[in-house]
This record gives sequence, C-alpha cells and structure tokens, in this order.
Amino acid sequence: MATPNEAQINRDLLAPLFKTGPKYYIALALLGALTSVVFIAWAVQLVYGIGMSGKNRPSFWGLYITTFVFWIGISHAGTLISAILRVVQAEWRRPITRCAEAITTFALITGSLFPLIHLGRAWLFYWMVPIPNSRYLWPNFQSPLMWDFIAINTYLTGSVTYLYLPMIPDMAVARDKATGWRQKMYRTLALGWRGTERQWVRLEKAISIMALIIIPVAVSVHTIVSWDFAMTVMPMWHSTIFGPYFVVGAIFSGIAALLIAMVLIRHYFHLENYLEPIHFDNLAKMLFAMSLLWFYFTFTEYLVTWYGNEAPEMPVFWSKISGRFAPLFWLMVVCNFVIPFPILAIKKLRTIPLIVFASSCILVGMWLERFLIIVPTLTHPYLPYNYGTYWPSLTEAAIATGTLGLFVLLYFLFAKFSPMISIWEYEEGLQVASKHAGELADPSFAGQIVPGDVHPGH
Amino acid sequence: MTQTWCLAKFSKPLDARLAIRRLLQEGIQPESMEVMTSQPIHGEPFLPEKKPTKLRTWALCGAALGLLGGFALSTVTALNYPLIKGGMPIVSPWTVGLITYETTMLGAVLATLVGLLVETGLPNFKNLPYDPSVVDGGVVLAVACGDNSRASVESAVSAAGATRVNWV
Repeated sequence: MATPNEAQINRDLLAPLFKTGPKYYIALALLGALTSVVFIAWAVQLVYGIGMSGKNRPSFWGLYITTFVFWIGISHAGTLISAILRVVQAEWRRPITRCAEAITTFALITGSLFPLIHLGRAWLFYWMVPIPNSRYLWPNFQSPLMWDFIAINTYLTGSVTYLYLPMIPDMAVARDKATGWRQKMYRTLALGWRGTERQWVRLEKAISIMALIIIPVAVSVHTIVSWDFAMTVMPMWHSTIFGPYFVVGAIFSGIAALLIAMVLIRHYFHLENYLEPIHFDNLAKMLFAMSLLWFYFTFTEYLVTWYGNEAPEMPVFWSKISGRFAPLFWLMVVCNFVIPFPILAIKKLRTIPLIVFASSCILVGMWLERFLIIVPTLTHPYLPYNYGTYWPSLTEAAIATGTLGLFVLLYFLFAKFSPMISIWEYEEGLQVASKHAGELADPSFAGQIVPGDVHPGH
Repeated sequence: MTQTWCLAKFSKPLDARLAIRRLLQEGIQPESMEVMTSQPIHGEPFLPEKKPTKLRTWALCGAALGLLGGFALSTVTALNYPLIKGGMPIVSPWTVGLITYETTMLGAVLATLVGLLVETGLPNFKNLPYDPSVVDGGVVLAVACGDNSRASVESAVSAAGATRVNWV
C-alpha cells in the first residue's frame, strides 16, 4: 500500500469521529444495558445493605476485590507500555500508544469503583480523603488502604495527564476539520494550539518527562495493591515477592487487553492500514515474554510454599492444587501458559485471530489468578475452626460482570471523541522513517519531510 | 504604522529555512517570526530560541514540593493525634516513605503540566496568526511586519518557494 500523505491520514483517523454507523449505536446500546446492570445491582446493595453481596465470615473479600485487582492490573497496559516504548524510542509504538493510554484511564476508573462498592456505605467514602474529622483525627497513613488511595489517585492523575498531552495537537486537527458544536468542543480542548516550534519542543519534552515519571508510579501502584495482601499475616499472602508478582501479572493482562482493544478498534473503525500485523506481532512477542515471567513467578511462589511445608499454609496450597479450587487453578495454568505458549512462541501460529484467542484466555486466566489469591486464603485462615466456604451472590456477580460493559462503553465513547491513533505521532513516524530511508540511500540526505515510503514499525 | 502578519506556506521545511535566512538578511528580527507545522520537525531549529525550556526544573520543583507536602502530611497528622497503631512508632519511616514517594511523583506530574501550559502560553484563545491548512502538511511561516517591510517580506518568502502567501 502506498503511504498516505498528511491530508489522507487526517481523513482516515478523524473519520470515526465524524461518521457514525448503525453498528456503533447497536454496540453502544448493548454496552449501556450491561453497564446499567452494575448500577442497578449497586443500587439494590445500597438500599438493602452489604448483605446483598453475600459476604460473610470468613471470606469478606470476594468478587469485588478480585475484580478490583484485575482492573488495576489491566490499567498497566497503557501508560506503562506506552511509556516504556517511548523511553526506548521504539518506532513501532506510534499507532498503539493512544489505544494503550486510554485503556489505562478507563480501567482505573472502572477499578476504582470497587472499593466504593465494597465499602457498603459508599457515602462514607470521604473518610479516606486526607482531611481531619470532627475530632481532628486524620486518616491513618500507616494503613495499606490509604497507600492504595494515594497511589491510585496519583496514577489516575498521571495517566489522564499522560493521555491528554499528546492529544492536544490532535484536538487542534479535529478543531480545524470539525463544524458546529464539535468545533467548539475541540477548540476548548485544543487550548489554542497552533503547532509553533516553541510549542512542539515543549510538548515533546513534557511527554518525555511524563513517560519517565509514570513508569515508577505504575510499578508502585500495583506493588501497593499487592501489599494490601502481603502486609497481612495470612497464609500464602505474607510473601516478599508479591509486589513484583503482581506487577508482572498486571503487565501480562494489560498487554492481552491492549491486543483485544486494538483488534476491535482496527475492525470497527477500519484502521487496517494503520494497525498492521507487525504491531500485533511485536506486542505478541512481549506477551510471550510476560507469559514466561508469569509462569516463573507462579512456580517460585508455589514451590517455596510447598517446600516450606508450614502447617497454616498447606491447606491453602492443597485446596488449589488438588482440592476444591483445583479446577480453577489448573484452568488458570492452561489459560495463562499452556494455550498462549505455543501460539505466541511459534511464528506461524502468531496470527491476529490466534493472538486474540490467546489474549482472551489470558484475561480469563488472570482474573482467575486474582480470585485464587484471595478466596482460598480467606476460606483457610490460621485456625481450622474458622474454615469456611465462599460462593458469590447474584448481586456481586452482576456488578463484577457488568463492569466489563462499563469499561468497553467508556472506551467506545472515547473512540468517538478522540482519534484512537495519535495523528501527529504517526506523521512524525513517517518523517523519521523517511529520513532513515534517505540516510541509508544517501548519507548526505538533508532530512526533509517527505511522507515516506516506509510505515512506522517497518 | 499598522502591524500585519504575513502567513507564507511552504511544502518543504528546506524552503521555509531558506525563507527565514533571507528574512534575517533583510533585517527582520527572529522574534517577529513564527514557524507552524503539523508535527515536530527534527534537526536544526528553524529559529534560534532565546529562552530554553525549563520543564525539567518545573518537574523537579514540583517533586520537591510534593516530597515536602507528603512528608508533612504523614508526619504532622500522626503527631497531631498520637495513637499507636499496630505496634508501629507514631511516625514510621517506612510508611512515611511510601506516602512521600507518591506525593513526590504527583507533584512532578502536576508541575510538568503547569510548566508546559505556562511555557507554551496555553490555553490561549486570542486571535493569533494561524493557518488551519497547516494540519494537512507543509510549513507555515508567520512574519510580523509593518507597512514599509511588506514588499520585501513578500518577495523574500516568494523567492524561497512559498506556495501561498496570505496577509492577516
């Protein structure tokens, strides 16, 4: 395919903003219905009390916290991957950064709902805000829950900023192409951007600074989420490797989610010429590396527990390996390792449909992993006298499932409002590729803008 | 004397550079010129920049403020109402460190954003010289000039290969 010029790129990437087909409205209606399930079930729980979630001794953490950890993990897809690829100047990143950064923002918003839902009396949430109460007592900063609050808010602020900064020039393009109310909206969001040399230099510098800041923040967030568990002295939770184990799992599930989102965006918005097979192939290779890392961490975690043979930990261990939770445990291993390994390792199998299949399996497997970390431990505390069972209630299951609809709904709405591929970064990639191609052909090449014959990523 | 803006559009950056060189030779000051593009152009800057960006300093100052704020928040609030929690000291360096780390990063994020807005002069909805066609490619050179320099500016940009010249 001949490389398009800037005007063609603008037309292609802005088309989803200005043209809406019936498929989009049908998808929106279905997602809206699924999302409404969350809010109806939550309303039922608020009216009738937290008992509707079916939580009882000994397992007070069930699907809500499982799904919370799952979404926070998914949020690592975007900002972390995009920031790492920006820092190492991987040229193939250009068409995927926006898709990835949007995942982070919406997964964080979705995940952040769960502590509120889990709270029961959600209207008392402000007790977490760092202000003193009527007795001048401040929130307890020594509690891992406060660490969560501070870390997630920092990550959300950073992610929204990191998503918005590269959007400013694209909002200006949309402003110059739109009419009516859309033009007014994009004019406000573009902040008066004109694309002067001074503005570009500063924007690029700010994005590179943000990329450097956001990487340690992303790592810290999921480490802190893991410490919600590791700071307790519960069997199989009090582990020193929980931080990196959770971070690896988060990046693993995040890349899987990103691949699925990219396929949907590519298909529904006809971006086949921009999101090319090479982008899927490169991300699939990263996914393969994460699958190996995940297996390594899981193996280490379980081997050490088995070898230690400590009395309180063994019932939890055996409940997963051969007990009540064994079917879920082995399904997790199949989904996270047995299926993805050959698909992602063998070049011939690394096709887009099979990558999507492997990614879907990984999302199921990673959700199961979170569930298997939480529930078996809570149903097998230190004293066998307190052993119990757990089964999710309808309300709990409806809320947990419905958030999938909420996340996709937010993502689809965003796709109608912002180009899902950063226009200026894509064009800059053409310039870089063209310059590189020119230098290869003639070392004295001056480096002009010639939308090249080479796509970013090739 | 009224000041007007000459908006010259070039299809290639090289032509815009040539136009700038000619205008500088004509005695036009670099501060009177602005270059607009749809993407950052790599290589030598079109115009010498008088004030280099201080965004790193902004980020560092924000981080320092965040550090102090987080440290104060987690220590002063604990000392304000000294309760022993979980057998830990009233001010525990480990937990203070965690809160301080997060607020440091938050300060750096916010300061970078504010720094960018301050240094780029955004948001700015005033009627500044701009050619919307720049988003479809090419380079737009905006030159501020008085009535007496209009002819020389127009001939310089046209000679350098401007594909279109507008006056606003």
